[in-house]
Amino acid sequence: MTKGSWMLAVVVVAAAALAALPGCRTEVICPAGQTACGESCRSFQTDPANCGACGHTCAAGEVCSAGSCSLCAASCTSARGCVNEVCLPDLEVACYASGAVQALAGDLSPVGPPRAVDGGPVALAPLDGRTWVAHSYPSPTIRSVDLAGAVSPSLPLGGGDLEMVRAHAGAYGRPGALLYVSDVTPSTLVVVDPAAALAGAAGAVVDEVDLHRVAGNGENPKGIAFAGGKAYVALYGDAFLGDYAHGQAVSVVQLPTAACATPPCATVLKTISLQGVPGAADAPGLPFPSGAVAVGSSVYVTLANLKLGGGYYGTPAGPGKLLVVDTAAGDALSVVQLPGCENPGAIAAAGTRLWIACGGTGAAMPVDLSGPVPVPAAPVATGVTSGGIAICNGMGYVTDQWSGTVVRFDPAGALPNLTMPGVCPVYPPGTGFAWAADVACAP
Amino acid sequence: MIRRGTALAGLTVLWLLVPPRPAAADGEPPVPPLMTLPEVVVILPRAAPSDPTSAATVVEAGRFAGEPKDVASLVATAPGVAVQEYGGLGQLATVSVRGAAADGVKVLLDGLPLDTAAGGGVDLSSIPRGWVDRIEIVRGAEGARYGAGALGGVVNVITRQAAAGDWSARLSGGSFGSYSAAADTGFGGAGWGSLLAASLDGTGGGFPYRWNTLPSLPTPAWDERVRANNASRSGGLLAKGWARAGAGRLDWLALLSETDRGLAGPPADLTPDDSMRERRALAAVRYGRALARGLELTAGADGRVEGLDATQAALGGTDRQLDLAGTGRAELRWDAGPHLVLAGLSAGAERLSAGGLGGARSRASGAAWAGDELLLLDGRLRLSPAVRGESLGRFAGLSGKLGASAGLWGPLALRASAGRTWRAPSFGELFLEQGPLKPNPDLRPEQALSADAALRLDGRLGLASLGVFGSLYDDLIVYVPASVDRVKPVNQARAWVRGLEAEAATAPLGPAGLTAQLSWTWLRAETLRGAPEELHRDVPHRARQRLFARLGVAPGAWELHAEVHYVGRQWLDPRNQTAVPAALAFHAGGGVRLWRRPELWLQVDARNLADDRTLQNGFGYPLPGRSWTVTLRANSQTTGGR
Repeated sequence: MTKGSWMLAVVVVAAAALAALPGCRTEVICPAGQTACGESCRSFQTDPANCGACGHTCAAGEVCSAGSCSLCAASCTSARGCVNEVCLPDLEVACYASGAVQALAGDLSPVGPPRAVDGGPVALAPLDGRTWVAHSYPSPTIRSVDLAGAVSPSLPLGGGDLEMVRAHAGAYGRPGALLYVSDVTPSTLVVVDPAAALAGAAGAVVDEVDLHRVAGNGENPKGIAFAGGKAYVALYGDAFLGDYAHGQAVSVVQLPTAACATPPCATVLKTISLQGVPGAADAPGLPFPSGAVAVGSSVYVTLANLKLGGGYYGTPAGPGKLLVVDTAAGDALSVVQLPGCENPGAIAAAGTRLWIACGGTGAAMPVDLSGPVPVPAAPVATGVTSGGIAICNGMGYVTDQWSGTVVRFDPAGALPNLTMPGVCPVYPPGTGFAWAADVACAP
Repeated sequence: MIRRGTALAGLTVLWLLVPPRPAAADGEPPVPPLMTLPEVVVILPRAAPSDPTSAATVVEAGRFAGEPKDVASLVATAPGVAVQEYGGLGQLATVSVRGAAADGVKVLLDGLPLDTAAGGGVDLSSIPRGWVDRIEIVRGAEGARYGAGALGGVVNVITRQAAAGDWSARLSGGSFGSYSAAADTGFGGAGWGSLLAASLDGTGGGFPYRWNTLPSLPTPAWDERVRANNASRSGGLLAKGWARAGAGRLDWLALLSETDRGLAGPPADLTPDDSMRERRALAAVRYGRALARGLELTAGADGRVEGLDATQAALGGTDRQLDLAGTGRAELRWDAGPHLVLAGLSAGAERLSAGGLGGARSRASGAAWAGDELLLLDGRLRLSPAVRGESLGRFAGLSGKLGASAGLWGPLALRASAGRTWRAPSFGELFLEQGPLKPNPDLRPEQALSADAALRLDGRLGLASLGVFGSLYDDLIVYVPASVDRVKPVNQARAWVRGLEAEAATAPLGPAGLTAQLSWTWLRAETLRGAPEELHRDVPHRARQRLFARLGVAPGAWELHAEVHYVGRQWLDPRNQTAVPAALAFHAGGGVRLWRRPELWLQVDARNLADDRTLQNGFGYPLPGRSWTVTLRANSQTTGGR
């Protein structure tokens, strides 16, 4: 072969390679309100390491507020104030679209920058100074954020879509609390040792329980509550398949008291089907049990009461319901009607009162537990499609299922609502998608 | 949208650099040279690709005669290719080439595009395997030669040739209630020939598989299950032929096919009541004649009707989709000394109606292309530039390619090519609003730029090739969450895909007719655009390693073969946190000739010999465990084994 033909061949390849090189640059896509610093996304408004500009670091003891460094005391508005020149937040919000946890003061102003976690954070559980986060999309993982904003290693779980995480102590022979996670794709309850997960150590998954009654489709586990050494898991079911073989039930899981050497150790004692439970749904609706919380020996489960085929948020068949499981009476069931509260989901307890997020009616409904039977009261309008709900330092907080808005309401009714849009930013740009998926009191 | 000036300038310079062939002294048109090059005279086991400067592999179906290999399985024997089988056994199967999504691979049947305006790629299982003579897999941004959409490459399924007196028939049955029957016959006379082929395939589809019920624990908890609602049935009729017509030749083709299948759904979200029916009718005619010495004109037209009825509980019923498409084209081929120049025009239209499209959608298409195959240095160097301008609806763009091949020493040759092309957003991406899908009418075309080079050894003992490639895909359309329960397509992704491709295949060696075949791909598909946690990660569903290896003996009256298929770990998510484990499968089979003339063979094949019931495709769909197939086939011609 001649030198000329070699040259030509080399030129062809080199030209192609050169043409490709300019396009091989990386490009970071940041959530709204954040700016790329190298290959990271930073909030110039709140990030003390990039306050107002990439690399502009606030001095020790200063915080970044509105793009300027200032002393903590001068800008911290949280109820807990500054401790060691760190502004302690009052609550935290899971920002699903942007994959972050945003700490907030009680006036809904940001405390520190958004903390990037994994994709699709959907549920929060405070525990021992950290907030544990369950991620739904695109991977089922668990990780945590501490008050200083440090993020723990990611713990990948099996399956594909986590829905809930709750902390509970008193089982598996351990003095401390463990994390209990609803894993939707395999329909399991996963038990995680937070200390091992924090250390990134093997054996962080302590146990896993299959919640299926029959093999096949998902039971779609959601809310988790604990009472009498048992876990009660709401099995939501499928929005399109109208059978009671999967979902539309509450699974009762006996938690072991001793250490679990060879999982699975927890056992499903029974699955309480809601088929035929008087008042659990209005025909042709199905119960769709969702949120769960325990107060004393009673477990309270919200029933969305939806018609089939409506997708993720179906069409209400009537007002929502509250299922009461009296664990001290052999899991006796009763149902409380929730007039004015359609498509209820999340539920939070505050003393002798429950607060229920009413997605279908844009409200938060209190339920009084001080009497012999739960008594719902008039709902408080939130002005958003109420998703997550938490009562922190005497104030109520609700997230919007269709935006990044968080609403503060006064359970006592003395203060007007405070609505803060954009707590969770749009991501990716151009989609308009922001979702404040859950709210929890800061640990 | 592309650097038009650069591409056109390059082609112009190349054209000017080549001295024109001197005209004949008597003024007659020049006599075309014999276009026989070392690369073209390829002996078995490989047929020649249509463009020797391209990274191409030709898979001859006859090499696997009698084996239960559908089109997807045949394609999967080539390097640079990743087939996603959603359960095998007649279920949906799509192909990715060099990391491009199924949408970015142009699938052709005898050169006619099978992709529809609906998008989503072409289901390879909808092409009856009984029709296939060979499959040409061309890797790289090949839009200049094959049309926009070939971001990663092209899969061109060539149907059996019409030869008077030839016939073949095949009947098989096997595990899970699978069956297949196919027959074809050729007939003709002086100045004409035609082929009729019929094919019927089906399966009960109920294969057992193992499902890990406790996936978060380190030790799997396997549950034995049987795939339900996984039956499929497909059939097709193919007629094609040719005839002399005046001073030219007329080629024609017509086909009908139908596929009905249950849609089993993902293992964790079974869809026991879902099903689909796909029907396709396609007809094409082409006329070619010489206009002058060395100058040939071909003109043709084709039309296609494709219906898809999908019944899905999530959609609350049956969605009916109907696609109508027609194209006319003309091409001039000028054999002018060292040049072989091609230039052509095409125009067409397509109309798609579907429930979620908000009514019927239509788009017109037009293309103009030109290319050259240029021989230099006494034929030892071939240059192959091509350019195509194309419009598709409101989108337009340019594709370009420059290929080169050169003989180095004896049977050793070097080939290299570089190209760019684009893909217009599909109607599905632009307009479909259905279930969780939102449309995005503001989408832009995807872009691809690729380059590759390979050393190729091609001799009497067989063929071996080792190449490197790099492809940059930009503005890739990906579905991202757009609300709590909806996803929306956006031009968000950019990926840099590079790797190695190796293939080798021997001709039958010795009296035992020993053959060996290997194809290996190492591919790194790196995310260049996205969230910080996604940068530099692997693009989901792109295994880094793929291997196909095969050994066979075929002394004449019997044959045996064994295969290994390996697919490396594939990530399910862009942050690379959840993976489908690597899959290793062994297949084997053998046959014995029962009768010499006509040739009658009895064949037994086993797939997934180790009966690994945990195998999954790149999206977590279970694949069948061990399966058996018994085949009886007869041919009018003696094939002498393989």
